Amino acid sequence: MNKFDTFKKGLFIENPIFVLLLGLCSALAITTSLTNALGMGMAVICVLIMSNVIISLLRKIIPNEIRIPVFIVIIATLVKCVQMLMNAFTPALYESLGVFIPLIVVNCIILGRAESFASKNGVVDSLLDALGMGLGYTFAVLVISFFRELIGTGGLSLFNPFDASQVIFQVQLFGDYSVSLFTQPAGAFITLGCILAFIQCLKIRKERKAKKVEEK
Amino acid sequence: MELVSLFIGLTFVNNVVLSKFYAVCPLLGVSKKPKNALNMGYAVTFVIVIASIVTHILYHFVLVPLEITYLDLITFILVIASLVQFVEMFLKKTSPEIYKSMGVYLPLITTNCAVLGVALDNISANYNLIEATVAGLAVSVGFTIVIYLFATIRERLEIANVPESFKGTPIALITAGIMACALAGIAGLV
Amino acid sequence: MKKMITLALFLAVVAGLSGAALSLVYSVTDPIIQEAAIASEKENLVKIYPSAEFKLLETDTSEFPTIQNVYEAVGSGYVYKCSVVGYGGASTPIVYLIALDNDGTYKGFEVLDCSGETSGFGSKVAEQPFKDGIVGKNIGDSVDTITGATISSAAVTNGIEEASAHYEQNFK
Repeated sequence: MNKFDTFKKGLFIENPIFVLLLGLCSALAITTSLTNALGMGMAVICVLIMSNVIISLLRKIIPNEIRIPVFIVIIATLVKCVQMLMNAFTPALYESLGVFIPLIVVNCIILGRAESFASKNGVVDSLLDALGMGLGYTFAVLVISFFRELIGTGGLSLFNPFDASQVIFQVQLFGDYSVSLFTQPAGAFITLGCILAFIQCLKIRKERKAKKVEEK
Repeated sequence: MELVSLFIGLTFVNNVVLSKFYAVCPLLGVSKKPKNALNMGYAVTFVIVIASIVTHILYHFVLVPLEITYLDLITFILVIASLVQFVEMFLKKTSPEIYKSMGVYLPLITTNCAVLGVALDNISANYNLIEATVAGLAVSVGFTIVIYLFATIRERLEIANVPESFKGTPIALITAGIMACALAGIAGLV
Repeated sequence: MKKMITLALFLAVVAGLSGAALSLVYSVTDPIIQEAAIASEKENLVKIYPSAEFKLLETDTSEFPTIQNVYEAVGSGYVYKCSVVGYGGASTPIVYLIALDNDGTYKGFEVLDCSGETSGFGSKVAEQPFKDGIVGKNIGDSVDTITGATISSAAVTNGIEEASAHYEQNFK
């Protein structure tokens, strides 16, 4: 596999949320607005890159029997660092993401990549893998929050995650016809369910086409 | 009285699975057979209750006096990981059957957000030891009820005529969404 | 056996290193977090001392459970942030600021949150007549509670007494 494929597979073919179904807890919880999703995506990318790089550097030193506890300690340290940095520099985002920042520790994506990729591959590959997976996660939460915010509030808005008072864009499309269910937990499940159904539908079509070509 | 309302609040009204999305992974993974779901519920209950007691004691009697509260995350996750390891060894010895049927999902309790989430929530809500224990119990009972109900619904869905693109996970997620709607109906109870 | 010891040592070294890394990040971020907390509090503090410099004091308040923070308005006096349990229960406490001048007079009183109190009754602790009954008095003077809102207002005066006691112990 070449370097570009290592990076690219996390985005679509092995998208952690839409395809591997990992890390759904945070993906469902923080997708109430685009700003939250972007902030969470960046936090996950940071932790994922650092944990993949560190673990891939240490992969030959860490004894096999206790690799999981060591991974968990490394990840917990990184997450706590990110949490404290966010508390210091992005207080508004820190407030709105709340407990889901420390919960990145138990996000299956991070431990999963550490165990299945970083502990077996070199630093550069692990870095690319982390970048791809992290961007794939960010892309997925942005898609979910796009639909939830649009249907739930009737508009879209994006603030600068580092400074909540700085508006990047804000539009109100159909405020009177919004369905506030979609900003609530139930809406998160239903949105993700529909997106997954759409992906499955595309897959089925592709398979049918392939079959038809074969028959011909 | 306050403990009762705390219990009911966390079990039903603010059920962590359906309102905070803790533990969605095992919900989708394990819950294909009601029996497995129940076993998973018991194991998680044990881990959560013990974890909420131990983390409470460690936080308030070790981390706070030493002023190293920034080590909370590492401490908690290590406590949880060792508890899960203990449950695993215990089940392996006493009932190999359950151990086998839970498979990979047993060690994954460590990365179950509900366990760490409850420990962190207990600290930020400033509960005392009794409240923390009750909260842990309430959350895990809520989890067990939801995962069991969900498993029975999914068993029915297997034989239902679901549109092709919705088969599997999509319809399961939408079912969870409808369950969350139902729970939202009793939001004003506590 | 030797293997076990190596493994345990390795884990201990990793934990030690991560602890060191965390305390480093903590020492960098903590002052910024504290400063931000003061900055958001300042909006309220300037209502009492419009032109003072504020400092968050590190004092022992373990004897006074209602006191959350103590601020020094440099040169003018001290502001206490108190959180007391009123009619709304422990989950929605009444949070307020009480300021004491250098000569022990109550200089100001601002309620920050009394959302748990019954509106029209307990919520009166945030209104002007109750405030007038406090501001200008000295430590030791009695503060009248409000008829119909005894629990809320008694909780508040209880917190004020604790603030006064802390003031007498530390700043007299």
